[in-house]
Amino acid sequence: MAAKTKEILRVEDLHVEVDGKSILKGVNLTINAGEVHALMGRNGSGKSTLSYALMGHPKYTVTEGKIFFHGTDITEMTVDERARLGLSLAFQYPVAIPGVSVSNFLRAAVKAKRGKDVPVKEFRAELKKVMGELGVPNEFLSRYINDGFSGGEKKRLEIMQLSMLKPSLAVLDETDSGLDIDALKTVSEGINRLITPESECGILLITHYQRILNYVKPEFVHIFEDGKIIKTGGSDLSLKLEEQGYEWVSGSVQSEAQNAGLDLASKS
Amino acid sequence: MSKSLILNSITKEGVDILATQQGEPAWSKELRTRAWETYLKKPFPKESDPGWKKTKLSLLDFSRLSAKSFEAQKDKSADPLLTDNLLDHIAKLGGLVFSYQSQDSSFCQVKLSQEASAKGVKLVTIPQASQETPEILKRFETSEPESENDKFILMSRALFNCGGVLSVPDNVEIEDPFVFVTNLAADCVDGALFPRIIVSVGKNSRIKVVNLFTSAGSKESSQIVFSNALTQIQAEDGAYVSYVEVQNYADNVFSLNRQFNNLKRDARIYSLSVGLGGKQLRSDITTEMAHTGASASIMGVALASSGQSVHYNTIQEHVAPHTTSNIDFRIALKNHAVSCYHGNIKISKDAQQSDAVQSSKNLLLGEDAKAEAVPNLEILANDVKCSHGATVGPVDREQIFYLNSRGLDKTTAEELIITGFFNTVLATNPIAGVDAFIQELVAKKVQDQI
Repeated sequence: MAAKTKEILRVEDLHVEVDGKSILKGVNLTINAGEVHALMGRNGSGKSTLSYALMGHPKYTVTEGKIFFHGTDITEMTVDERARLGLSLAFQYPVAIPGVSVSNFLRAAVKAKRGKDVPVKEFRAELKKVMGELGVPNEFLSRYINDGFSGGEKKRLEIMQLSMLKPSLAVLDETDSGLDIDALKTVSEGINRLITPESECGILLITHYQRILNYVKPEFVHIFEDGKIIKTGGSDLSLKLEEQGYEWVSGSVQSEAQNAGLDLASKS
Repeated sequence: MSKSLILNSITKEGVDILATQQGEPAWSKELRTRAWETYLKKPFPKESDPGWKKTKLSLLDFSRLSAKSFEAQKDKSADPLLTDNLLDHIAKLGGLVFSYQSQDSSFCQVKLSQEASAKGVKLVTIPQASQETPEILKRFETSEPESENDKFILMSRALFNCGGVLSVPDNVEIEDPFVFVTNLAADCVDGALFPRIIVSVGKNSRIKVVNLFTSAGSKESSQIVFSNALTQIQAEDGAYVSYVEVQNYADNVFSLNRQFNNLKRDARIYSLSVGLGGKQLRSDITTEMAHTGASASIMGVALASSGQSVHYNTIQEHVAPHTTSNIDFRIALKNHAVSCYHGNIKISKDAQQSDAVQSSKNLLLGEDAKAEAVPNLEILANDVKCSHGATVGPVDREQIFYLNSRGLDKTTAEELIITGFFNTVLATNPIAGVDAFIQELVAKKVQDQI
C-alpha cells in the first residue's frame, strides 16, 4: 500500500477547563490515517480529559486552541455531529442505561451513523460476525446497555460498538484496564481490526500500562503530564517507561523541546 | 338508546332512574339507595387534604355531570369500536366485556370463549349482574373497609353503570386474557361514567385480566368528563391473577381509579398500571395480603405531558405473616406536568416475617415538571423486612453523552432513555399479547411534542 499521508485529526494548542479549573494546557497532536498513537501518563495527568474534550463533552470547555477532523474545525460541533463524522470514543467507565437493550441501541446508532436504516438481515449478519470475532455471547444483545456488566464485558461491548460503527478515529480510554490476559488479546485484536484499508482508521490509545502495546503496536508514543504532551517517541519509549517509570520522563524532559508530538507525527 | 336516558345530575333521582332503567331487582336498588344516603353524609375531600393535593378536584362540577344507564346488548356479538387496536394484539380472548358511551348511546356487550365457558367461568356485564350474579354483587358491595367511608367509592356504589363481573371457579387455568374495555366517545360532554370491574378467582385458579380505559376518536373537547372506576379483585387460596390496566383516556377526562386486591392464603397477584391519558389521573391501589403466604407485585408506569396531573396512591397492607409485596412505580413528566406518588406500607402486628419493598422513580423531562414521592410506613410487627426508596431527577446527562457519542441526536437519545426507564418495569408484564400494544402507546406518547 502506498504510504500516502492523510490527516485525520489535528489538535492545535488545546486548552480545556472543567468547572473553571484548567486541565489541558496546550495539547498539540496530529494523527494520520492508519496510525496508532499511544498516549501514556500518570493518573490525573489529563489523559481522559483529552478524550472527553475530543468527543465534545459539554462539561469540558475549550478556552483556547482548535480541533480539526478531516480538515474540518469541529471545536464547536455537538457530540453527535462529531460521532456521525466518524469520531468515536471507547469509554473507560461506560455508563449503564437500564431498559435499553444492546440490540435496539446498536441498530439506532448504526442508522444514525450511516444515515439510513440497515436491512435487518444485513444488520444481523454484520453483528453476528463482529460478535463472533470478539467472543461475545448472543445474550449480550437482549441485555440492557452496560447494566450489570462486568468490567471485561463493558470493554468488549465498547469495542463491539466501534466495530459496528466503523469510525475513522477511535479514541480508546484505558480500554485495557480491568481485562485479564485472554480478554486483553481478544479486545486488542478487535482494535487492530478497526484499521482496514477502507476505514483508514486512526487510533489514539490512552493507557496507563505498557501491556496492551504488546498487542496493539503504536507507531508513536506520547507521554502526557500536567495537561500536555511532554515527550514523543517510537514504541521503544513505552518500554523504557515501563522499566524506569514516569519519574524518569519528568526529569529527562525538563530541558527538551516540548510538544515534539506535532513535529514527529507530521514527519511520518 | 335515547337521549331520555341522560340524567340531569348526580342525585337521588338519578340513582332511582338508573336502577329502574337497568331493570334491577329491589335489593339492588336498595343497596344503591343506602350507598347514596351514606354518600350524602360524607364530605368531599379537599385539595388542601394531604392525600389530595395533586388531584384537581376543582375541575369537577357535579351539578353539571350526568350519569347514563347502560343497555346490555346481550345477543349481539361484541364488535367494539376501538381506536387503540388492543384486540388486534391479542390472538385469543378468554372473554370480553365492552362498555361504550357516546352522547346518544350507552351499552355493554359481553363475549366469553368456549373454553372459559366450558370450565365454568362466568362473565356478565354490570347491567346484567344484578340478575345473573347477585351473590357476587352482594359479596363485593362492602368488602372493603373504605366502602362505607370514602366519598368516591360511595358515589360509585350508588351509580355504577358499566363494566362487568368475572367469576372463575376453583382449579381453573386459562391462558387467554379476559379483557374489560371502557370506551368513551369524544362527543360526550358533561358525562359521568362509573365503571365497575369485579374479578373473583377461585382456589388454585390462574387467570389473566386486561382492563382498558380509553376514548374513541380524538376530537378536542374542553368539557370535563368524569370517570370514577372501581375495580375489585379477590384471589382465593393459591390463586394467581395477572392484571394489566391501561388508562389512555382523551385529555378532557378526569379519571379516578380505585383498585382493591384481596389475597387469601398463598394467593398471588401481578398488577401493572399504565397511565397515559386523562387531564387528571388519580389511582388508589390497595393490596391486602389477608392470609399467610400471599404475595403481590404491584407495578406502575405513567407518562404525563403538559396540563396533566398524575397521582398514584399505593397501599400494601400486610395483615398475615409470611406475606410479601413488591411495589415499583415509574413516572416520567414532560413540560409542565405534575405528579405525586404516595406509597404506604402497613404491616400489622401479626404479620411477622413479612417482606415489603417499595420503589418509586420519577424522571423529570421538562424543566417545569414537578414530581413528589412520599413514602409512609406503619410497621407494628417486629420481625419484618421492609425497604423503600424514591428518586426524582432529570435525565442523566452522562447517559445522553454516551448515546450522543454513538451518533444519536439529543431527541433520539432522550426517547431511548425514557423508553428504557419504563421498559425495566414493562418487561415484567406476564400478559404477552398486550406488550406490543403498550409499547406502541408509550412510544407514541414519548414522541409527542406536547
